[in-house]
Amino acid sequence: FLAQAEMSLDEALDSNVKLDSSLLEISSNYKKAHKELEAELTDDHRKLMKQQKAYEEKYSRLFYGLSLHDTVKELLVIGDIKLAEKVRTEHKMTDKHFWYLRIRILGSNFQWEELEKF
Amino acid sequence: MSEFSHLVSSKVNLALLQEQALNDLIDILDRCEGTKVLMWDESLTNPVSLIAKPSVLKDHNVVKMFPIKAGDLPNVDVRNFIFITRPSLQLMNKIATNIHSDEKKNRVYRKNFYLYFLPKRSLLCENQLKTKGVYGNFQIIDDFKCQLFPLERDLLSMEYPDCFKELYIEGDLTSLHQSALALYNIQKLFGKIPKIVGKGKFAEKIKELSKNIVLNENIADEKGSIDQLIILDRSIDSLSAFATQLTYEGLIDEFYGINNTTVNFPAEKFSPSSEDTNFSKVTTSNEKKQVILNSKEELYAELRDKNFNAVGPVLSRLAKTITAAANERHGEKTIQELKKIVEHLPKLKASELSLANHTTIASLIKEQISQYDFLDELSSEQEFMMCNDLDKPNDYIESMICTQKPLEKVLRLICIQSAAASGLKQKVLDGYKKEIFHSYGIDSLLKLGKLEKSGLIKVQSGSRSYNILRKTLNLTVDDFQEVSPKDISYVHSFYAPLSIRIVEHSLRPLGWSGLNDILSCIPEPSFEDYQLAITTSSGRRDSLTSEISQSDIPKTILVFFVGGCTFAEISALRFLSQQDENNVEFIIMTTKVINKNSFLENVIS
Repeated sequence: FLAQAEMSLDEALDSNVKLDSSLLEISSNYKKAHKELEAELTDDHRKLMKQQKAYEEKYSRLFYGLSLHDTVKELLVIGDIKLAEKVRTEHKMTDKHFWYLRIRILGSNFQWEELEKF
Repeated sequence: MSEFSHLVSSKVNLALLQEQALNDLIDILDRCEGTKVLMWDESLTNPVSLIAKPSVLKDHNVVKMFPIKAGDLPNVDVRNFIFITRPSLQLMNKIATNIHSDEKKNRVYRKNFYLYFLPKRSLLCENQLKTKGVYGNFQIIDDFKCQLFPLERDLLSMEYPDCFKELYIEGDLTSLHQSALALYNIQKLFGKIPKIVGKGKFAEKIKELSKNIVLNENIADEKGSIDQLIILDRSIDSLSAFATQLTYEGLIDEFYGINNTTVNFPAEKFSPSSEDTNFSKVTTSNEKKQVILNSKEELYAELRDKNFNAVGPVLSRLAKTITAAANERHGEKTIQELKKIVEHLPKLKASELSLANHTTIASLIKEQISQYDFLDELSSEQEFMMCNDLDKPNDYIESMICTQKPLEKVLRLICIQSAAASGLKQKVLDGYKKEIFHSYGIDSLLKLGKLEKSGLIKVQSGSRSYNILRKTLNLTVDDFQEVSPKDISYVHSFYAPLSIRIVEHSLRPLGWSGLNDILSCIPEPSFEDYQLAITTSSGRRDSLTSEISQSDIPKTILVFFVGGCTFAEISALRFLSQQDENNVEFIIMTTKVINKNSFLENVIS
């Protein structure tokens, strides 16, 4: 099952369109191979991809297919901190990871006053 | 054959292998009359340049050479096309399209096709050609039996980069058969090797296979010029494959990639005067300067195995000698003295060039290793080697993930942590996976999956063999010496590669059997076997070491790494053979010379 999961993931990645529809099957194969973490992450990614479609409409920017890190980063760059916070809690991004991102974006936007609040 | 003088050696002359391969190649060319075009599997063009220089091909009516590509054949007015290729299905498909396109174009006057597989035909490929309906189009389909490419007088490479991946991920055992054939070929040339020892399941399999071939092919029952063979699986010591090499040659390989003794540097760093062709073979293009690195160049032979910190002193010493020699020209001289000086001029000029080049290379490297990223990575790697904080998530690795540093660097450090801890705690591994997934996206799952499958990343179970071996074999040395080393640990500054420590210990009086207890913590088979009964004067079987200790002739040991070895490991073996008390010469054979980057990339790609 592991081989099956990895094979279909590999195929799906080659043709990005198919990815979200095959993730369900991939995750169930991971589960059968007792790869719980991988199954969970695949499921998370499926949810994320759905949300990404909504963000694309909202901000007319490319979100689809980005990793969680890049999604949150984009939202921070846009300045929608509330939404960024929401995504990161939903997807259980660690505090450390989030603050790394937050600080870097603030730094690159020269928002020094914001930075000083830490 | 001055072109290959760096391979010639008095005892086990690897130039013989080069000559043999060259003769095979000439044979292939001569079997086809008239002018011809060679079509190469691209991965072979470099290795083949190690056995034949272009002029030889010209002498045998080769008009042009092309890489194999799908579609039309290159438009040359030559009738004979010789394909030389690895047995790969992909290339078979490309060749088939070549032939189909020729059939369409030339209805009457067809080309002649020849096909040679290196090192051996495969049924799978031949069937593929049949399916494509082109099998009958070849005049000859045969083997180009060349498994070994000599890189140096003590170094043989099979140029088989996928070996580790095939064995540990894909479960493809082709490389074992080819290794066994290569070992047979060596014994055909240099005589039977009496004793074979080794560690690892694939090593054991190779031993069985090669023993069988040797038995069936009836090689004379007397000892040849090689006394012993040591076969080691790469998997018993993955840490040394991932460790940053700190030798001159190792660092050049890691930063610029040495391929078949050739390396490309950014050309603008080199002064124009060094374009002189006296310095090995140098060709300059716009951006790249190609340099051939082998022992034909005296200075490189001296520098290559040194710790990088010892390179500077050698360069400045040579600079002083050259200046002194140049100054000698001034002042009054007799005719005889002048004559002598003039005779030495070309040599002086060559070493001047070689000095200029290596000073440039060394400063390029110095620049890179002084960067913070390099130093930070190195220090966290070294913490792992010392077995510090192995059971928790590493801060530096986490910060690399959070800042999206190249995934390969992250994975390499995790592999080192896993190797040093003999497996990660489940919680630590899951934490890394999740973070990596969040940062690099879903394709990272596949890469992690491959590393897990190959065992390079694993969950802890059983004993901590690395830590035990670290103590019993003294792998991390406290009073290390980089400039005038007393121990092989200098190749990584203070860490002695486990693989080479094993070889070193097997030289001791107790021999390989003395190592069995120590190595029992690695759950892989260990073996010791004989192809010839070793007899002493009393006619009783005895261990090789006690036999040799009676004589002063150094014994020759062939060390074979299944899955690749690094330049640092090669340097460490050379260091061992320079120690008089060991009284040993090594010949190193590997499936491919690897480094921390190429090894990882090959596994996850």
